Amino acid sequence: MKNRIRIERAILDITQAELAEKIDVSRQTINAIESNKYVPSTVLSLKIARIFGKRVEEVFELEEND
Amino acid sequence: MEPRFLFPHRFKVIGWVIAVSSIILGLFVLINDLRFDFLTVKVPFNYFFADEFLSSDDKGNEFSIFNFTDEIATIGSIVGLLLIAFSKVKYEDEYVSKLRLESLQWAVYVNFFLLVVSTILIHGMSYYIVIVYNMFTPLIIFIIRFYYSLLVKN
Repeated sequence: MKNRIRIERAILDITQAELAEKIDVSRQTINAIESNKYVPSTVLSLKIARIFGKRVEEVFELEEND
Repeated sequence: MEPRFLFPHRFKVIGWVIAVSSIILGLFVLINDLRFDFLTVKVPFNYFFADEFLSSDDKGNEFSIFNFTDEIATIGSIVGLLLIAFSKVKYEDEYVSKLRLESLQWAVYVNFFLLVVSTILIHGMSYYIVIVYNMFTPLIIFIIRFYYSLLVKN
């Protein structure tokens, strides 16, 4: 699964730590998601999308091998 | 999603204090045969599971004399390590839960791999020491692996 979190963060101009605080997770979690080491749960994906004011599909995208 | 079966975050510090002091005590017991005299206790019955070879003081008596230094070190190490291993981290979330489970599986694999290697290489009474260390290594390997993947690799 691909995601646009890093780009969306840049648009809002917030750091990993600030995003983490807004959705009540650790900074390590945001970092792991951004570097494609961890696929977030549906709840967390919805929370992340809400912060960016977008739909989940606009932030997360399936890849060929998914 | 609230993680289950974890201690509150503040127990981690308590765990470190108990574990470090108990492990140091335990190493002195193992290496220097340290015994604190005030921990020698006379219990008014014969311990069924204490064999003659390991404690000859109580042969044929109606009571048993034991020194509890090593028992305190063992129990302290186990309790302390459990508190370190299974206290919540500051931000307990789903990724941390995943890392915890992965690390636990990894620790079990590594621990039993080491045990198999030790079983092949170490024989006789020295093997007793292997079993003693093996009581604690699953937790120790888990703690190292978990905090490494949480704090260093990220």
